[in-house]
Amino acid sequence: MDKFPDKVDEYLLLNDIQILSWGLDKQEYKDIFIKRKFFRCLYESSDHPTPEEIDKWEKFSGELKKYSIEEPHDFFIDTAEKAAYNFAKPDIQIQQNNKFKPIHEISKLIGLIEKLHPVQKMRLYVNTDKFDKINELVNNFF
Amino acid sequence: MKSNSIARFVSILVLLKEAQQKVGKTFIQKAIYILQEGFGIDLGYRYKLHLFGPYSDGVEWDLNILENGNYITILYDINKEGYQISITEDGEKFIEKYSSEIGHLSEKVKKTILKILELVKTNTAREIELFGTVLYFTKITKDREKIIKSVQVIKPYFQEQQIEKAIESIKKVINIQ
Repeated sequence: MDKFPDKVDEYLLLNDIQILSWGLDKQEYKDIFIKRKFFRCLYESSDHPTPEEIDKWEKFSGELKKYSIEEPHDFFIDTAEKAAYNFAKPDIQIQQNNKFKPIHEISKLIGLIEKLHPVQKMRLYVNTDKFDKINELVNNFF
Repeated sequence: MKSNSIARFVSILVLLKEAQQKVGKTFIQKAIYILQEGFGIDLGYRYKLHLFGPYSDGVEWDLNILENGNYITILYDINKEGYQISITEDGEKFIEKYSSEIGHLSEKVKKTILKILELVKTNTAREIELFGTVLYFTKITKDREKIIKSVQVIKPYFQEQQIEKAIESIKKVINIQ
């Protein structure tokens, strides 16, 4: 947002009301805040999707395009891969005896966590204006 | 509609099948990097430089998904201090079932993977780690000295002669722009 001041002192004076008032300047944000027109979660995958399930979701995105339902205006698919803390990141390396070792080799606790499968759930979020149509397509497709 | 995911899954499975032995995560990461960035088969993975060379979260992600479907097994071998990954029977069936879906790309992936395995004859993680990292810097600069120094900064355990040899081997098989 280009409204944020460059100077630290001015930046520190910002408060929730100021930020919210900027948001309400735009009709799009006003609708989201006041009319609660934010994207709703319509469908989700299993916690540990298989390749077939991933393929089906990818094909579903293509199916929506046939009905002029476009990403990201009408829907978006959120994946755990996009999360701020990504479990697919490589292990932290610890130096021990002049050799780098992944942390799970050194810590028993981390070793146990390592054996857990990361949750790779995907969720379909849709614009409320298209909710019914996309819901119908989801029911027919999945 | 063609699925990008299927192309990625098939590529990893073909690599594991053709390697004809258990390989580690580093090996897969670098082989797929060479496949995509060296031979131009765009699988949509995004790579960044990590401790062991180019690394993609997406590859790690797809390995977990393939394991969810029982198409590969990922075991941690305490003696070898690393993961041992292999393709299952279902994984081989997956290749047969879905190769037609990605069309001619399937054959291209297989041929290219065989070239990569030929490049890395010993199939060791250490060797492919060097090839992947050399390729990473070769794509950034054409200056041989800079490539060698950059590789040595992050991988001091490789001798200059080894890096030189890796540059030569890569240039023989990959047409670097």
